[in-house]
Amino acid sequence: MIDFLTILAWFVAILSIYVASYYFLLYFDSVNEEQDRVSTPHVTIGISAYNEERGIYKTLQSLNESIYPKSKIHVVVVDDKSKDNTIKEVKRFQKEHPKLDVTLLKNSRNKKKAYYLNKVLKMAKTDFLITMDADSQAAPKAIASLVKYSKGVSVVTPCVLPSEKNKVLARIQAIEYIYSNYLSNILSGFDAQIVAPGPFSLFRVTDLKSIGGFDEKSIAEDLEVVFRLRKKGFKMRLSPTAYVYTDVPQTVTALIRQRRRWKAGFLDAVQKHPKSLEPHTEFGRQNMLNALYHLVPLILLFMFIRFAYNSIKPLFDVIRYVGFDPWIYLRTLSFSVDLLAVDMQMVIYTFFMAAMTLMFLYLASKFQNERPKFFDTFLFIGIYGMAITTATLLAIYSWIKGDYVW
Amino acid sequence: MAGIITVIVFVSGFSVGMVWDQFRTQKLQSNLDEISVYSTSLFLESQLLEDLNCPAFLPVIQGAVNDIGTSLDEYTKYTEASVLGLDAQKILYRKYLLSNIRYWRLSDIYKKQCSWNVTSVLYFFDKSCQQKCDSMSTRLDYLKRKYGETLLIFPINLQFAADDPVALTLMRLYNVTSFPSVIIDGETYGNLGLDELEVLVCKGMTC
Repeated sequence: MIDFLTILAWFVAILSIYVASYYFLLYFDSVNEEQDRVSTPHVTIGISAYNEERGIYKTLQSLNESIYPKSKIHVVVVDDKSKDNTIKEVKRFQKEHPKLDVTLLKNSRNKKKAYYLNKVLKMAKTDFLITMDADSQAAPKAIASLVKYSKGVSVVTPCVLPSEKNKVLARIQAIEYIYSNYLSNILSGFDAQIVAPGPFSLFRVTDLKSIGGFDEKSIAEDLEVVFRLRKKGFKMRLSPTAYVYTDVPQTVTALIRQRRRWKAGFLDAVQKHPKSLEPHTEFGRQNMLNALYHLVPLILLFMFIRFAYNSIKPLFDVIRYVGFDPWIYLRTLSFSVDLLAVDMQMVIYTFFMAAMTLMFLYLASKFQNERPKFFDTFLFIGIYGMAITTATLLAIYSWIKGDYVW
Repeated sequence: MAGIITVIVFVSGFSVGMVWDQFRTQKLQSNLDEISVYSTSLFLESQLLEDLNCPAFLPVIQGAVNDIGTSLDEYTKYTEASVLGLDAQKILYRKYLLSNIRYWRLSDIYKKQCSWNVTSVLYFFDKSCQQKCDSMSTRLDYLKRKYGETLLIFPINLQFAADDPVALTLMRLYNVTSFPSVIIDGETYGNLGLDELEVLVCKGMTC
C-alpha cells in the first residue's frame, strides 16, 4: 500500500534521478576550451597560517619548485598568531631559499582567514592574487596552468586532490575530489562553478577589489566571494591542468566538521544572496539544485527514524505487554528470504543512480588519470554518503539556529 | 531533457513495479487457490464421513493450518511493498479469510471428534484499535511461540474484511462489537491480559 514514507522515498528517487540525468547531459554539452595564454604576469600568493609548523615549509617548498619564473612570484605568509613554530619554519624557509620572494606578516590577534586574505589583497600590486591554504601543495605547473586559463575571467580554479592517500577515509575522499573536479570541469564550460577552492585559486586583483574583497563575516569566504563576483557579471573557469594537493580530514568526526562548515557556508551565502538561486543562468540552476538537495538528508533522517521506530516497536511491545522473556523468542527465531517481497521499483531507481554514479566516476577517473580501487569506490557509493548526510543535517541545524562556528 | 529522462526512468520503474506486483499477486492468488481447494476438500470430507480417520487427518490439517499462516505472512509482506490499490488487496484478503474461517471450523470439528489437543482462537482486530490491538497481537504471538502447534490462531483483519458477509455473520453470531475481540471455545472476550489469556487458552488443551 502506498504510504507517506513511500511517497517521500519516491521524491528522493525522482530528485536523484533528475540530478544524475542533468549532469549526464551537461557532460555532452560542456566544453572547457584550452587557453593559449603564454605570458607570465606577476602574481601574489597569499597564505594565512595558524599553527601550521607541520606543513608550511612543504607548502612554500612546492611554490619554490614551480616552473613559473620565481622573479614573478611574491608570496605573503600571514601568521595568525600561531602558538607553535610556524614563524620559525617560515623564517627557515626564507633563509634556505632566498630566491623566492617570501614576506612574513605577523598578527597580534587571531582573526578569520578572510581578514588576512584582504590584507594581502590590499598589498597586492600584481594583476593576480592566488589564495593558498597553508596545508596545501601546488604541483610545479599549477601557477602557470592557472594563469594560462585566466584570459577574460576573474577567477581560475584548479583540480584539488588529497595530498596523502594512505588511509581508507583519505582514499574515499580522493574519489570525491576526482568526482568534484570533473564536475567542476563540466560546469566550467557553462561558467557555472560555485566555489573557488581555498587550497589554491587565482583571482584577478582589480575585480576582487571592485567587490570589496572577501567577506570577513562569512564562514566559507571562498564560496561567498564567488556569489558576489557573479552578481557583478564576472566569469570563472577551471584549469584542468592545474593540480593542488591538500590535507584532508583523517577522522570521520573531522570530516563531518569540515563538511558542516562548507554546507552551512553555502546556506549562509544563499541566504545573503537569494538571487543566486534564480534559474535563468546555469550558475543559478546549480545553486538551486544544491539547495534543493539539502532537503534530501532531512527526508532520509525522517525515514530512518520511522524505520528505526517500526523496527524497534515490536521489541518494546513485547517488553511492555508480555514482559522480558527472550528465551521464547530466541527459541522460535527464524529467518526467511522471500525475493518476491523486494520492492522492485526502488531496486530499479537505485540501480539507475548507481550506474550513473559509476559511469560518472569512470569518466572522472579517466579525466584525471586516476584509478580508484573497487573497494574504495564501493565505500564511497555505499557508506560515505552517511557522513556527508550527517554534516548536511548539522549544517541545516546551525543555519536555522544562526549559529556558525568556524 | 533531464526532466524527460527522469519521467522515463520513473515511469519505467513504476511499470516494472506494477508488473512485479501482478506477479506477486498471481503467486499469492495461486497459493490461496490451492489452500482454498484443499480446505474445501477437507471440509467436505469431514461433512461426508461420519467417522473421521483421526490419525491420518490430524497431520494433514496441522500442515494446512501452518500453510495458511505462511500465506498470511506473504500477504502482509507483499502488500507492504505493493503499489496495488486497497481494493485489489481486499479481494485477496477475503480469499484468504474464507479459507481461514474454513480451517477454524475444521479445527473445531477435529477437536471434538478426534480429541485433538489444540485450542483455536479467532481473533478480530482492525486499524482503529491501535494500541489495544498491538497489545493483544503481541500477547497472542507470545503464546503462539510458547505453545507452538497446539495453539491455533485465526486472525481476521476487519480493515480488509469489513464488507465480507462471513466475517460480519461471525461478528453477529459471537456478539463482537469492539476490537480487539477473541473467540475461544465459543466464548467472546475483549482485550485480555497475558495471564487471563493464557488461562483461557490452557482451558481447552494440555499446557
